[in-house]
Amino acid sequence: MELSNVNKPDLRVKLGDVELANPVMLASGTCGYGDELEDYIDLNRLGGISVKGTTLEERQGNPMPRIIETYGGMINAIGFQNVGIERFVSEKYPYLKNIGARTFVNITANSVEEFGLLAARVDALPEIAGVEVNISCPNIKKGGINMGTDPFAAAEVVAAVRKATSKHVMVKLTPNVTDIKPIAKACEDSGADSISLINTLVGMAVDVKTRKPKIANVIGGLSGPAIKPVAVRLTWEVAKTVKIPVVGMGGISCLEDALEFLIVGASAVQVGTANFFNPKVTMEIIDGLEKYMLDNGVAKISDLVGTLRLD
Amino acid sequence: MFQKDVPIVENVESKPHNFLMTFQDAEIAAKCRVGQFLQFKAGGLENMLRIPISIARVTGDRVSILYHVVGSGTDVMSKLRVGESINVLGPLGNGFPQDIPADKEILFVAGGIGFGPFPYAMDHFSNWKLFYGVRNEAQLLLQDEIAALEKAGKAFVATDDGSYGTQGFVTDLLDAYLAKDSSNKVIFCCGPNPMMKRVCEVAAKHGVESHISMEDYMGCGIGICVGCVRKIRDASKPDGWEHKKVCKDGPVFKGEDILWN
Repeated sequence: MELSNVNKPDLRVKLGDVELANPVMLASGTCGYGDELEDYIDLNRLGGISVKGTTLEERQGNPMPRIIETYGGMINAIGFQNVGIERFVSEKYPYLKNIGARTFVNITANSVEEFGLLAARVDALPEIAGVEVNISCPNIKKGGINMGTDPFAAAEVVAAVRKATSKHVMVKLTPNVTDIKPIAKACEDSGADSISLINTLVGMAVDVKTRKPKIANVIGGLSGPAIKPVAVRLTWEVAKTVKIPVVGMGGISCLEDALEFLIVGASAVQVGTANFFNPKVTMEIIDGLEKYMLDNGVAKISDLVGTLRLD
Repeated sequence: MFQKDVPIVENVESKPHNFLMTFQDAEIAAKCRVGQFLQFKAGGLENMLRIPISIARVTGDRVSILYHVVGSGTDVMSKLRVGESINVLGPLGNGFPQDIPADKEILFVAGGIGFGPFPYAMDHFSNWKLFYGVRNEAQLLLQDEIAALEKAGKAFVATDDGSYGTQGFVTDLLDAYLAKDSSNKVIFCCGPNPMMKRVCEVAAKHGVESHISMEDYMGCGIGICVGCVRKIRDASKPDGWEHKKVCKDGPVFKGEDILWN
């Protein structure tokens, strides 16, 4: 395409049957239910939003302290404090169904059956684009095995969710595994429409004066700019492994970060921890993407995806 | 609310490690309420998360904060010069109740840097008394102003070491004051946790309503990280309490609703 034809770059992204206005999404657990950010950003301009991890029952979460800043990141163990799926439907959905961003409900459960029930409940909400399945949870019925660290357990969850909904099924992978590729493949083979990654890296921080862990849960999830290189590498590996779209995340806090994920093969990105210290960050990335595409003669965002040069 | 760079017009060390910073911004100034806070961005990857600080005073289009240099973030703030700018998020949180009847006396109870929100409250309300506890005279903020208020019978100061005012706990001064007359009074309090817990006990003992401004380590300040929660009584919940967000549902909670443990 001639540069002169590139007037308004095309930022639209297709994730299976779901079209996003652009590749920038808000990551679950870092944007509440959207309304908390409405003073700072235009939710109609976002590509998508994945709301706070939602469980069957309301949860109060972990004791304090729950978070601690580390160099270039933070560790959290919130413990899935959330309103539960029924209050989500009655209190949060009415707001979300009127925003332009495509909404995904991040679902979290401790058994395959619960995942199925949650997906079925979300299936009945017409304005929700799909579910994001947080498979990095212990299966309480199976001795607490983390469902996201085993290809067979992951496949079982994804199959149950697939059966319960005809909506888009995005599966969010944990980076805390020896090899992520067979897990991604198992999710794809069980009916996932897309893969999102990475969830947080398990981390720990110690107060050397008191010799106590800095968060009450002892260990927690490390997020923020510090984890980005790990996230880019895993996104690249998964994008090469599966045919379904990949949504990359992990430490994205500016345009260049987002571009890295697109170049290694992510069709879209999610922005998480950066919302905490810069609530406007998603708007800055969307504006930056548009300018980058104009400056570099990129007509469609998909012309960037997976263009890593290894020559 | 707003997220913007604002110009610093004052940043002085009024007492060792205690600074008064003032910035100019008409939009933020117009939105502030007594007891709300602002989130300041100081530094890059080393101070990634923002620093929550109470609004100490609003004068026209100028907003002031009082802050204690305790870590690398506040250290960065303390080195900013007049004419430089700082990125501010806010105003945030619920603030103290605004609709206190004029005939009701408000007792401001401040501990250490928890004095932060009270100059603004002192400007805003007229029928009040200030009970201010600090470790020693070197930590007493706005000392000239406080001295004038003491002379006028509006302020009472306690220090741990007796270097200024009464030696002992400010909560004992409050207790003695309420023992004389506890009718038609309400308490606004901000300070360290043990002190605030004691204020709640004193308030309960005298049957006085209290509003407590909690401080916590915060990830975001706007309710999206759910990192700063406290157990707040809620009879509708199975356990009789709910984890409420200090930043968004607070920072001010009714004393009787706070579960201290």
